[in-house]
Amino acid sequence: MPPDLFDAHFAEIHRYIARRLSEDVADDLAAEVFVAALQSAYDPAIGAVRPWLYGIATHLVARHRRAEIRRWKAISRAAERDSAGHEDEVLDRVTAARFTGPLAGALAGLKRRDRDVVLLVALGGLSHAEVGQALGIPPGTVGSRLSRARKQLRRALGDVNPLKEDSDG
Amino acid sequence: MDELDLLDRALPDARPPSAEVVARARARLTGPSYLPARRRTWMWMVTAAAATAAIVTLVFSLVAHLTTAPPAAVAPKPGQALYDLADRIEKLPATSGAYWRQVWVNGNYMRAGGLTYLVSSSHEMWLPRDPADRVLTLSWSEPIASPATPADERAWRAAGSPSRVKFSCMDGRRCPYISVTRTPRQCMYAWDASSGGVLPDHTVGDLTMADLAAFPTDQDRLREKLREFHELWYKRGFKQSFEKFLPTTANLLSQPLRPDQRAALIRLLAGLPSTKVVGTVTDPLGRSALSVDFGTPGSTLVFDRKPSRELPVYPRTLLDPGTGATLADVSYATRTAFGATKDQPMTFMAASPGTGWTAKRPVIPVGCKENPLYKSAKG
Repeated sequence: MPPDLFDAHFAEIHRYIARRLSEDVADDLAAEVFVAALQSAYDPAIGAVRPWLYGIATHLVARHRRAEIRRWKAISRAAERDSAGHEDEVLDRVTAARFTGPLAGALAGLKRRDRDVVLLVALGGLSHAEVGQALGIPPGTVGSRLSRARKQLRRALGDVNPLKEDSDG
Repeated sequence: MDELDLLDRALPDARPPSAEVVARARARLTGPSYLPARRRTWMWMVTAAAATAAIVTLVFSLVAHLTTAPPAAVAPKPGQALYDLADRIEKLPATSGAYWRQVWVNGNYMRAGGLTYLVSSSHEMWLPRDPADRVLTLSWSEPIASPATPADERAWRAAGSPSRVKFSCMDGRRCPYISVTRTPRQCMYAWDASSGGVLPDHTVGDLTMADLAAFPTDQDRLREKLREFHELWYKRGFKQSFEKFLPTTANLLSQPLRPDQRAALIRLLAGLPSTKVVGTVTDPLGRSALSVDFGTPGSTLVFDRKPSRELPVYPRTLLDPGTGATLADVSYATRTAFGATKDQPMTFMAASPGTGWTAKRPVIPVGCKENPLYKSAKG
């Protein structure tokens, strides 16, 4: 266990919340995560510290569910408006930015439980096992939620494999 | 690149938290203010209750022995009981010591298996008078449960005296068993040398022991002193009026003020239009107390993620009728819902006996472990 969990993890928890809600909300909510962590007391029996903190963060984010959905919808709309303005970006970011709108829109339409799983993996970089620990659900449930969510994301992308599309130019 | 990689790249990134945000978050971990739900924080009050309440689905129940008692006496004028209290305590001898020892209990009333339990945790801080000295924080942070009332105790025994209890949780959340015991568990400690003598409760200002010792004992001069703190907040961008800031200063009643200073503050608070004396009540630890509404906003307990399963609560400050110090901050249900009845106590933070100045040196209890969430300053 790291000697100082706050120093080790505050920035990444803040980033995770800021990307799901906003930086302003993250300023307070990230602190709440560590307050709750302090009050809960870490139990090594439940696994690693990092997923535990992400689980608390995800739980607190859930209280802002409507705000999060509004955010994804707003990003989706803004990305559609701005989609023509990225010609000078590097290819990677152009490719990614082209999909911001559809992906954000798809996130808004996901069930909360599925969205939590997807974003813990995509933004938090957690493994399936760690997501299971963070949310207190079996790995099989993580897999099924992730599979369902990925289908919806792919559908939003027009059933295009972005990697294949990049390679083909 | 798959959909998940693409998500990470395509979604807007966030800037790292500023140094101020990090410092403020760290400060919230270092003292009583890390329970903002039970403190009257100014302006960013809204984040209050959720942090603790969100962890477990709270199903509260009536707690008979904690019901608000009717006012003991009819006050001749608003706030008269506070003026009387100030008169009683003003001439009390001031105590002193090398450390202000702050001992407190956090409590929630929760329902499981048809019984109501008090789920609590204990905490302690040793705040040095010397700003160069370190602060010691002790937390028995593992929640423990005990039957809330004698009737609950009988029912618990009739059920075979189960040694642990599991409360309902919000979905998707790990829901651990809680030991049924009255002995605090899982002691953790942390030394902090980084505060520079600034007290952990920042809700009024970044105060040191020396700042507090210099507080005026005249009500008007005290008001002007408090205006300095308001101006600091105002310059930081918090644009509420001084009058709306003043009720927050009731937080100072739990701080190491001398009796004459405390009396001045109580008189000042008694004169605020938002202050209402509720009456004499029994506090969560069974002590007689003067219940006061300082007009600060309430917060919300979360029973479930659905908005319909949230219960607003309102705060009351319970003062020691012998010293004027805060005995407890208690939140009460605003309505009957989820097993709770309107005006029933729901959560509290209560100062335990032992709070006060001491000449003793802080001692870490045997078996107490260093808290990994703090960055302890050794040596």
